[in-house]
This record gives sequence, C-alpha cells and structure tokens, in this order.
Amino acid sequence: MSSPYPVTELLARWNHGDLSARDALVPLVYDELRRIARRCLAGHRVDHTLQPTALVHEAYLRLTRSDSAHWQDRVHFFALAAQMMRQILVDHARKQSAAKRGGNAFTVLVNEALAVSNEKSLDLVALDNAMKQLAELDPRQSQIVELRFFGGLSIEETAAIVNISPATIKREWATARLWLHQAMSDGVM
Amino acid sequence: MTPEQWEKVKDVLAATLDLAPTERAGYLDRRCNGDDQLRGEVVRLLEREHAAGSNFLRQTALAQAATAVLPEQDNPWIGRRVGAYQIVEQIGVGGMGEVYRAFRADDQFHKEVALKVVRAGQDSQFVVARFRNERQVLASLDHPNIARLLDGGTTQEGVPYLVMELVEGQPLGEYCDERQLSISERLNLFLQVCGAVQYAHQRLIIHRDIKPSNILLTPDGTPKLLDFGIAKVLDSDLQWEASQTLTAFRPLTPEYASPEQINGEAVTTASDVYSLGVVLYDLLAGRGPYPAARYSKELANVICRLDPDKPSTIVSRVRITNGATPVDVAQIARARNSTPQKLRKQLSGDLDNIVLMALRKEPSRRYASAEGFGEDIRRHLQNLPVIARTDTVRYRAAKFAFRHKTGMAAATVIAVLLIVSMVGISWEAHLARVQRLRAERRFQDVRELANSLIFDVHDSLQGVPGTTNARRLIVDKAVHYLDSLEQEARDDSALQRELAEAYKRIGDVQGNDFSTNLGETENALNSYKKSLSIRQAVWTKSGSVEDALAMAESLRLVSQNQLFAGDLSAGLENSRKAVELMEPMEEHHPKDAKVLLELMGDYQSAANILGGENSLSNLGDNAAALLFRHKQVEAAERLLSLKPDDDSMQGNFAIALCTLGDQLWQDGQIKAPLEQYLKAQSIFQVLAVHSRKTARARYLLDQVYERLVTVYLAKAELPAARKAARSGLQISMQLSAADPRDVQAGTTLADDDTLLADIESRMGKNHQATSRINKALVLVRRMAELSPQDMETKGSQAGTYTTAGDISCRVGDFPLALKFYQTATAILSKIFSDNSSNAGAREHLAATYNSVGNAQLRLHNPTAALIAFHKALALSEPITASAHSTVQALYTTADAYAGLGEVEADLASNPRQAKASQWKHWKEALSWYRRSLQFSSRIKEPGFVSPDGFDCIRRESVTRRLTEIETITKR
Repeated sequence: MSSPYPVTELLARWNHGDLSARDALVPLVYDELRRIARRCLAGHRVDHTLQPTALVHEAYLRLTRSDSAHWQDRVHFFALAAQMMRQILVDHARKQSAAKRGGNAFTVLVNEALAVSNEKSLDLVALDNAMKQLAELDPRQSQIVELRFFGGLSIEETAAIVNISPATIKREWATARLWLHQAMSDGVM
Repeated sequence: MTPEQWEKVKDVLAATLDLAPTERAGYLDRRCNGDDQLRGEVVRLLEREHAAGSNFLRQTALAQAATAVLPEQDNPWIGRRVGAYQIVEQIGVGGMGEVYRAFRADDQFHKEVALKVVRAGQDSQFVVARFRNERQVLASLDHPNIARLLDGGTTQEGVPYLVMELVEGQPLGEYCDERQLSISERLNLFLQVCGAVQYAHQRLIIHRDIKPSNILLTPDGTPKLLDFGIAKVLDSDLQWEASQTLTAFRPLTPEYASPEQINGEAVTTASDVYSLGVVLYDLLAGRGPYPAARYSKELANVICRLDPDKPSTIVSRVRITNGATPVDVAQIARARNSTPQKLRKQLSGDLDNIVLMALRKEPSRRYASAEGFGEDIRRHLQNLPVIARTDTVRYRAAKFAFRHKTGMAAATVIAVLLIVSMVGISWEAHLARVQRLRAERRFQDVRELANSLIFDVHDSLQGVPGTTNARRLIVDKAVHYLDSLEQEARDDSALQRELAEAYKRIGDVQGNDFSTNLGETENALNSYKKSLSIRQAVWTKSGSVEDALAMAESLRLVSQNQLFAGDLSAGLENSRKAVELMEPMEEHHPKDAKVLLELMGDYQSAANILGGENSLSNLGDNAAALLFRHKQVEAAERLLSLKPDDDSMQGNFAIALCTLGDQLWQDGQIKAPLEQYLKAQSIFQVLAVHSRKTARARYLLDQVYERLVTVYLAKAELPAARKAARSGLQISMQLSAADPRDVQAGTTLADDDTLLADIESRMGKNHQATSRINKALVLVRRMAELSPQDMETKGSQAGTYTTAGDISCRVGDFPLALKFYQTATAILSKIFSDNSSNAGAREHLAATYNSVGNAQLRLHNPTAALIAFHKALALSEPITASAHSTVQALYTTADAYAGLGEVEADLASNPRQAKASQWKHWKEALSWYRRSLQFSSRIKEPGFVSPDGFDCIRRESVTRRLTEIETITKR
C-alpha cells in the first residue's frame, strides 16, 4: 500500500540519498515547526519541563501519520528540524530584541551563584552568532551543538546522524560549550 | 585561530577536562611542552568551566525561548525597589502572581531571594486577602524541605508581597534522570517530599498544587517544595468560593490535579496524596498515569474516569506512547539505572500497589495522609515483611480465582547511594591516592576515600556502550580493595562497621545493578556473607544492640539470597540464627521497638521459609512454621504493648493474627483460623474508622472478610458466610467505578457477586442466586471483552461459570450445569496450557473436572464421567505426592476417586447385566472408595466445602457407601 503521505515517502527517499527529497521536505516541515514554535513562544505552555523533542515528535507524527517509522528516517527528520528550529527561534529572538527599548543587552549569566533552574536569559542571537564563528573553525562541532541544543537530540541520536561515536560527541559538546561561553562573554559577535 | 589550531586546542582541552583539577597543571606542562600559546588558549577555556557551570546550554533552545516570553518591558516591577529589596528580573509565574529574583539592597553580601507579588492587574480585594493568607500559611512552616519564608510586606499601593528563600535547583524528574538515579534513590528523595507535605498537613495546610516543577532539588541534593501559593488553610475563617469562579486559581498543570479538584469538590489532604501519587508515578515509570490529552476537557474526563495502568505494565511495553511522544523504554530504564526487565520487576507488586492506591479516584480509598503514603514506601524499602507483604496472600473463596502465588520476593531494594561525580576523576589517580594514604596509615582518610572510591562512578562511563562491563570492573576492583582493607581493619571496630556496610552496599549493587543471572546472584550473596562475617565479629566484641541489629539485617539478606539461589536449608538456618540472635536481645532490651520489629520480621521470615504460601520456596513443614507464627503474633503483641496507641502496631498485630490464621488454614484446620480471623476483624474494624489510615485498614478488612467466607463455608455456616460476603462486597463496591470500562473494579465486583450467589444458592435462595449469577456472568463477559489478554479476568470468568454450573446443579438443571462447567474447563485448560507452572490454574482445573464428572454422572453418561474424573486425577494426584501438597489437592483427589467409585457403583446397580460383570463393578467401586479415603484421611479437619470453594464429598458418606458395598459383595 503506497503511503498517502508525501512526507514519509520523501523521508525514505532522502534516507536513500536523494537530496532533492530533502529540499522538498523543507517547506512542509518548516510550516509545521513554525506552528509549534509559535504556540510555545506565545506562552501558552509555561512549563518548566518543556520537551522540545516531544514537540518535534508531535510534528513528525502529524506529518507522517505514523509512529513506527524507520528509525533512521526519524533521526534524519530531527536533524532537519534542528536546523529549522534554530532559524525560527533566532529569527524570533531578533524580532524581539529589535522591539525592546535599548537593545538586547548581553545576559549570559556569568556568576554561577545566580543560575536558576529555568535559565531564561540566554541570548539566542548572540549564541547564533557565536555558533557561526565556531562553524568557521569546526563545522562539524557547530552542527553538533545545533543538533543537541536546537534539535534536542540525545548523545546517541546525535552520534547516529554525525556518524561518530557517542564518546566523541561528548567531547565535542563539552569543548564547544566552553568555547561558546567564552565567545559570548567576550562579545565576539 | 585557524581550524588546525582549534583541533589541537580541542584535543588538549578535552583530555584536560578528564583530569582532576590538581593534575591539570602538570599535564598541561607535559602536553604543551613549551607551546605557550597553546597552553594559554586551553587555560582560558578551562577557566570558563566554572562560569558555564552545568546550566549553560543545558535547557534546550525551545524550552528556553518558551519561558523567556513574558515581555519584560511591560512589567512595572522590574528594576523596582520593594521594601528592602531590589527586583532584578522575573523568574516565573506562581499560583497567584509573578515571582521575581531580587536582592537585599543594603546587604553587602548580595544575597538573592525570590519575591512574590500579586499578578499585575488583579488587585481585587479577594486576591489580596488570599495572598495575605499565603503569608500566614508560610510563616507557620519551618521545614528543611519547604522553601522558607524570609520576609513580607505591602507596597505603597497596598500590594502585598512575600520574600522567600530563592531555591536554585532542578525539577525533581530532571534531576533524577540526569543522574540516572535508581528506583530506591528516587524513592528516598520522594520520602523527603512526603515528609514536607505531611508537615504541612499537620498544620492543617493543603498544598493543592503539587507537581514536579514545584519540587526543586538544590545542588546538594535537597528537595525543596515550592509554591504553596494556592494552599488552603483548613481552619481559616476566610471563605473560599468554589474554584470555578476564578481561573487564576485553577492549577496551571491539570495533569497533576486530583479528580475532586477538577470537579470543584472538597479538597482534602488526600488530594495532595493524589498529586504526590502522580509525581511518584512519573518518577517510577517515566510517564504520567494518563495518556496525554489534547484539550483540557478531555484530560478532565480522563483523570476522573480512567484508571491508570500499573507502572510495571507501562515499562513492559517496548515503546511508550504518551499521546504524541513515543519514548523508548530502554531509555527510561537507563535513566533509572536499570534495564527494562529489571525495572519491571522492581516496580511490580508492592510499588505498583502503593502508587495505584495513591491514585484512586475516591479520596477515601487513598492513603489518608502523606505520612501513610511515605510509611508504606519506607516499609517497601526496608523489605520488612510487615504490612505490604500480606497483600500478596490473597484468598478468594470462590472457585474462580487463583491463589495469588507469591513469586520469589522482589529483588531486595535497599537504598544504595551511588554518587555520580559530575567532575571527571580518573580511577587510577584516585586509587593511587588511596594506596598512598594507606601506606601512611591514615585510616580516617582511607575510610572517606574508600566510600567515594566505591561509590563515585566515573562520569564518562555512564551511557557509553559497554558501560556495564566497566562498571562491573569497578565493583570488582572495589571488592578487591575492600578485601585488602579487611586485613588491616581487624582492630578498628569503627572501620569494620564501615567495611561491613560497604560490602553490603556492594551486594546491593551486584544484586540489583546487574542482570539476574546466577553468576551475579552468587556474587551478591558472597558480598552479603562477607558483610555478615564482619558484623558477626564486631558484635561478638561489642554485644551492642546496634551491632546486633546490623547483624540481623545481614542474616536476613543472606537468607533471602540463599532462597533465590534455591538453597532452602541454608536460608532457613540463617533465618533461625537471626531469631536466635534477636531473642536474647529482646530480653536485655525489652522496651526497644526496633529490636522487637526486627524479631517479628525474623519470625515471619522463618515461618515463610518453612511453610509459606509460595509453594516454590517453602519446605512444607507446617508444624514448624506454626511455631514461628505463634511467636510472630506474640512479638507483635509485645510491640503493641510498647506503643498501644500506635495504629501501625495495631495493624501489625492484626496482620500477624491473619498470617497465623492462614498458616492454620494451610495446616487443614478450620476452627483455629476462624478464631484468629475474628480477632483481626475486630481490630481492623476499629482502625477502619478511627485510625489515620482508614483506607488501608478497610482494604485489609476486606481481605479478612474473604477469609471468613471460606471458613464459614467449610463449616457450612451459611448465614455467617453470607454476612461476611456481603460486608466484603460493600467494601469492594466502593471500588467499582462509574466507568464501566474499569476492568479491575468490574472483575472484583463480579467475583464478589459470584461468591454471594454461591452462598445464596446453598441457602436455597434460588431465585436470588440465579439473578445474581446472571448479573455476574454478563459483567464478567464484558470484562473479558475489554481485557482479552488478562489472566486474572479469565480466571474470574472461569470461576463465575463454575458457580453458575453449581447453581444449576442445585436446582436440578444438569444439562445447563454441564454446559457451564465445560466452558469453565475450556478457559482453564487454555490458561494451564499457556502456563503450566501456574499451580492455581492446575488445581482449579482439576476440581472443575470433578464437577464435570459429577454432572455427567447425573446425566447418566458413565463413560464421560470416568474420563472427567481421570482427568482430574491426572492433575491433582501428583500434587499430593509432592513436597508441596495442598489441602485442596487432597480434597480434589479424594473426590475424584469417590467419583470413580460412584460411577462404578452406578454401573454395578444396572440390573440388566451378568452377575460377573456386576461383581467386577462392585469390586472396582470398593477399590476406588478405599483410595478416596486414603486421601481424605490426610485432611485434619474436613469441611463441607474445600479451601477453594468446591463442594466435596464428605468422608462419612464415602465410608457409608463403602460399608454398603462391602455388605452387598459379602452376600
């Protein structure tokens, strides 16, 4: 029985190496993700334990109408979603910062004593810029950050997409964090 | 910097991060080897480690963005000064208003606090009054696990505010998952939360909004309960209107709200218990009790009507779908430091029951208080076989239900503190440090390091494939290390105690942490044995009570594990040793409740091994078991006299009486168990009304009623049996939900109706019996449709059909009876063929074949009758020959033989046959009847109805028949 849902088919084709399938996916997925992001950003879910993976799963399910799809297809989807999520959220942050009076001051919390459970003050625009800088030094490392931070992927899932061992992912993640933290506090924008 | 340079820096940085801080300088020197620029880069980044902390980038982007939404520029509070405090920024939304981070403006130490104000724009008098109440509420609370109130006041505009301890931490679930805390560790954290809630309840304060995000864990692992914002004070003189008028007060996360809260009904301490139950459910099973609903109305319906699955059932699925989120069970198990199979075992039984009890729809059926909730969990953790255990001995008087065979005791869940160190440490470096200290004979330091050595697990080993082997390696190293330490510890009692404790913990890890294959159980046993031998040495020297208790614990652990390994006699020996140890202890310390409690547990343990319910782990020595049961009761009595007003001691005593009764019943007696049950009944009846744990007491009372029915039936005292059955029915009717789809409740109801129908039929009330059994049949069929795979439901079905058959027999409709019986045997043989070790199914199938045989006999189908009786024999006779012979099996075998006798006697009395043939039949009949007597004579106190509720042929009538036939054949 052929799938009536284009997304499943496109994912499968992409998994087999068809890049045009991926391009076709982008607008479909983007719309869905944007809806989700809008819903979250509009503050209708003020939930400390918000799980972005859950939302992306939801998007996945709605688009593919299946919950037992090929694991690899799902993982590809997430990689794509991570990329797009980043775009969406950073765009949103940019708009917000433009609207604020006096611009958006850099607010990464430097003093550990002040860190609270819901660290809401992270400047996504600054992070995005820092990530671009990192990508010039090490594109793979930047991708790892994107997958983990924007896509909400676990160590194992990230390892599967980037095709290196989980131990290496951990290493990359640990060192990237420090680099990004420094880049943001130095105001390297 | 160039990409190549970055590669180098990254490499060195990653390696340095793995080292202990003191080793980094040396390493860097070596590695960078004069390249100052490289070193400088690495050092600069290393300095970020502290600042980045664990929070930087921890929460993913979406979550952060979502919570960062509240537009700060519109908020007049930011930057404002309120009283002595300066507001910095908003950090969240509480029950009635916003929460801000602030600091004391005149404080040179710049201490941060949380400042709560009424939500902007809602300054109605009502809200203000309520806010003032919160201040009142919080002022009276002073507990380490509750966020402390520091100050409060009113702004110039008259807006009240509260200043509270700023709690920095992670929500409970996140905290546990990140550290992969095991079930027992989670339970211990949860217990602290229960303690906080109980503390509030004692001050007549209900929280009303308990959820994981209101439970934060500080970095040192202390849970703090927040946001008593919509807490209600029970004796307040302020009148709260029904909550539907103000949406501001509706809990923000309805997922955690109790049914009564959703319906706007009265909220009690039991409502908090419910919410705690949801939190616990999530902690255990990795998901909430109900599937996610999209709209709040759907969710409300689900909470009020749908019964949650058992946590152990949830984790037995391969993937969990929670609405939109398929989650891998392996992940859930890993986050609990376990595997899916182990996790299921850890959760099934006690924990399932505990959680589900807290989640009952009816407040009166839950734990009445957070304390009761916590206590049951504590008992589970200590594996003291007191209250929780008796649940597993479920008697069902009617024919259907299988005796719940208690399987091997759940793996010993004992709190093991495995501290996962967040900062990477190198194993070798650590070990080297320890050995150096030992060489310097600095035992104090050694002791501390020994603990951290064993229980700090290298971070990088977590979550990496092959982790189990590495961790096993660490445990092995630890054991080696402890072994070497043991030599040196001979003279140091304090060190010995710690060593013994360490071995015990290792044993716990080995028993719980790794797979349950025999090799590991062996290792666990060895560790426990080592612990035991040390504790024995220590106790021999000191003779103190604490050391005795510790040794008794070790004896208990060793005994249990020997049981797992199948070595019953060794297990028994150690159990006896525990008794022998604690008995003199009691003589010297007669007022020590701990000692008595341990002693009682040891008596129970010994009795279980000797003659417990579980036919797989008992030696079948009822007489010896009875001795210990009596002692168990006496110990419980003494414990009770120490604390006569303590409800749990009353409960313990009543339970001990029940266990004694069960043992006597198993012994084949009838009058003696009745005595015990009646005593227990009166205690539970009082507790059901007056104690703080009425729901629990009522549940146990129900258990007693079931036993009473069985006993009265055996004595043929039908009115008494009926009364008891009715009382039991009343209690379980409270269970039966408004939701006809609730399978568990429906099955229980059907069972009770079946039982009552049976009794009514025996009393000759045929009309009532028939309509009742028909009701039960309809119900049981529907339950089977809803839950086609569930074995217990099938069992209930079989039982109801069998009773229907009996009722038909009694009104003389044998063809109908036969139909019912055959349906029952079909169901039972399917179960039995799927699971041949199910002893209960086997016994019931055998007994039902007897019923078929009897019906066939009445229908004059001798061949069919013979076949049926032989089938019964094939199943039941082997049981009587084994070490685990049951009284029911004796009845069934005796009846089958008697049945065969009847058939032959029937055939013999056919006048149209040759004398020789007649003679042959008489002879056969004689032989069968004699066989029957052989079995029935082994029953001590024969009753009219067998233990599982089957009519049985009285011995006297068989003897009579025998005499008759002997007379005939002598002629």
